[in-house]
Amino acid sequence: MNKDRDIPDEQLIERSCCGDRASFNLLFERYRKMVFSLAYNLTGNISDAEDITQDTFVNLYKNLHKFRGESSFKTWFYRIVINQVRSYHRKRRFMLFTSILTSKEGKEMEIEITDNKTPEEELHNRELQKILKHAILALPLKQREVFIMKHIKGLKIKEIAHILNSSEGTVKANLFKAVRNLQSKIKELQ
Amino acid sequence: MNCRNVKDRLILYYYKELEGKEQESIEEHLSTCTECQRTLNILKEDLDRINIIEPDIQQEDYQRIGFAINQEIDKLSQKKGFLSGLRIRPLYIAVSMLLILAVSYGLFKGYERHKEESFISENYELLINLDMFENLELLEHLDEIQETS
Repeated sequence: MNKDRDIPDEQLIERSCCGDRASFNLLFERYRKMVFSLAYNLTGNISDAEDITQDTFVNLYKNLHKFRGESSFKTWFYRIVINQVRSYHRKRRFMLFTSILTSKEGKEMEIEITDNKTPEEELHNRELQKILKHAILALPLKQREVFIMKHIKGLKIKEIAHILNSSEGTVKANLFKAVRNLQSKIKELQ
Repeated sequence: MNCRNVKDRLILYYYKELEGKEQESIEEHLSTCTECQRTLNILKEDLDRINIIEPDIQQEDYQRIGFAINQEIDKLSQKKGFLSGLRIRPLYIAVSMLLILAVSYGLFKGYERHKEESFISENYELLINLDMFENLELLEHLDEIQETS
């Protein structure tokens, strides 16, 4: 099993292209959490995140032969996930201000507000939590994508630009707008 | 660097996205400007609050997703096998179109022959006597022949 971890992505891709399902399943194990996490953060819904994860890996299987190695596999794969999320939004006519936050199983996306201590602060932060949940998912998709990849996933602006096939300037602009939007929401509550 | 320039860059500064010299210039400005320092503190306070918790997804959920993925891939492989005998899909379409054209042409030709045969059978009496009129000179002098006869 440890040996599997040492196999580079490029080798697994090559083997998968030749029909080696075991290699593809290793890729799935390696990246399933990343894909699910990104899909979940972008949709706020477990059920949608599961569907997107499944579709993403099937899409990956169909398009593995297109990977040229010009960027890292992770960057290339992120792009597939983002495209899948966008496609999913188009199909489902994703409504940002209604029931997106509750899945069929009732599992909501939570936002942890750090450093809350007193009961008053607890209540205040619960309110803030609700506001922030709505605010992040209410961001226009492009701003949301950039904010989540930057703030949650910690990717560099250069990487995000490459994933979104966008200029760094556009990524920065969307990041600024997202942060300003969120700050104004926080200010409204205070 | 003035305050306006610094404030525009505070978000990138927070995320450590600035190059070395630019980062230093901002830090230098912040050390002397309380207003910009205050703006940065507010920004930090707001953004530091946001940490999304990942859902507690179980190993069996991942296994279920993995199983569904393999089922989809199996279906894809079956479809591919059926068409692989025909090699190239465009060729398959081209051959089908040619067949349709050939059949259409054959039907059209058949209809033409049918029309011809129908004409012959309807005008048989006239046509068997047509050899009389093969001689064009005779046709031209029909009026004269009629007068003299």
